[in-house]
Amino acid sequence: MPLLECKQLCKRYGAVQALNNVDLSVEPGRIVGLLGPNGSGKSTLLKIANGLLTPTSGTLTIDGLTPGTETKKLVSYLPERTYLSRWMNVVQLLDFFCDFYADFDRETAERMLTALEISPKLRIRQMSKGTQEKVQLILVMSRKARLYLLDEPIGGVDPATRDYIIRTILTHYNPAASVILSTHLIADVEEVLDDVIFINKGTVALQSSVEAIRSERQCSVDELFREVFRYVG
Amino acid sequence: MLGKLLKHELRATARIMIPVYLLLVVSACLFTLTMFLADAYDLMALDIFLGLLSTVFTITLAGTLVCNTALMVYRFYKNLMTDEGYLMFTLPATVDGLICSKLLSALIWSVCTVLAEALALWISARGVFVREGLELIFSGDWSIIFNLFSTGQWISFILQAILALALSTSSSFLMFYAAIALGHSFANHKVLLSVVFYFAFTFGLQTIGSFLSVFGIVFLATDTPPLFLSNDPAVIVQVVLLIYLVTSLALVAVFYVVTRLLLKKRLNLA
Repeated sequence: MPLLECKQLCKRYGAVQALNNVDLSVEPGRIVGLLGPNGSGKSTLLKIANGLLTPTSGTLTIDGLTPGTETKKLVSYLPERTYLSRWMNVVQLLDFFCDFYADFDRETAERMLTALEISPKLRIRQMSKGTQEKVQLILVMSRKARLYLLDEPIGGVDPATRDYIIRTILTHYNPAASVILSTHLIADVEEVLDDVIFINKGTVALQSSVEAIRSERQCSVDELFREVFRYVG
Repeated sequence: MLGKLLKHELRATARIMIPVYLLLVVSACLFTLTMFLADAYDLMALDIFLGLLSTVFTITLAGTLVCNTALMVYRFYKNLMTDEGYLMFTLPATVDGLICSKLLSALIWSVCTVLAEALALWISARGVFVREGLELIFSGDWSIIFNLFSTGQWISFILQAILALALSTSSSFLMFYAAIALGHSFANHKVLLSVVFYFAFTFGLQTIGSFLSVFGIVFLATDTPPLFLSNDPAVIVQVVLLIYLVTSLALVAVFYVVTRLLLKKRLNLA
């Protein structure tokens, strides 16, 4: 059974069609790049998968279940915004995640915090934006979730942090789980991807394995992305 | 899950409410101490200081009440409707759990606020001038009121009044929540629309309340219902309490359903 499956998924905001008849499926154990230009519908898709938005029509299921309390136990979500309360310190955040997520591994989180020299007593409001993003990523990746949904995890950070984030995703995700990574910075993530989904103007333009792209089309994902979106756009 | 949500909600609000209560108690102590000093020493400086402290104490008393309401409403907005909502709505918790944790926390702090205000007033009542004033008020014959009802009736009325107060406080907070949820279901001007909806709810309730009051008075004046025929004050108190209970319960139900529906089906985080 696919871990995530969309069937004829549509989402409309007033006159704007954010997602249009999206059909896709993600199998367990895959790292999938959800790639597309800004405003293509990537975040909308991830928000629906997290139950933050209700589809206009069609279905999205996670492990066969409609997004709800049960699927939230399976999904670890990194939104593109900093969602941490600014008054909380790192220890309080660890307590919070321990309380709400049975799959949260506190030791892993503490190890990663130590590696990055982030003081547990530091409050979110005392951190730089980059450090806040690192803490958020550490919290999300320290869960032994079935599905990681990461929305623009490398957008707006310096190259060193970007490398760290990609390394963290690779070394800390549960191998039996899947990762869906939304970004438009393809060259940075291409090496770690198993599959890609190209999405543009709310429509899936392509779903393929990276291996197939390289062997059949004799090009990199980045090159194909430029070609597809030049054609579609 | 509700217990965990409530625990974190109380932790988040305690960091503001506890210092506010401390400030209230300290200002009550200073006010009372100055009253003793002003009574013992006839100094103009002490009289001026007492006047100043009496103003500070009054402002702190009112400010604590305002802070309680404002903080609980702000928490709902900040924790569920802004970026923090991305975390709260992706926790394995139900929308009911999220609303109830906010509401229960607001009710708990409201009770604490009443207790803190009572403590502050009790402290200030130790002071000479306030004590004299209170002695004057309570020197009258209150037995007429105490003898109005039997002990059983008093207990029943007080319990019903506490329940009605809890429901009425809940409906007040839920009206804020519903207005915020409604305002934030739109794409733009979310905060402004929340304020507009709050005033619209208030206006609507006042209009309905006025209409029902006029209707009730006309009905009571033209007909001969049992309430009017009864000479027993207990019957009158019971009927008034029941009307208040039913009205508050209806408002709680309406605003809860509106808030729940909007957060479940029309959640629109920026």
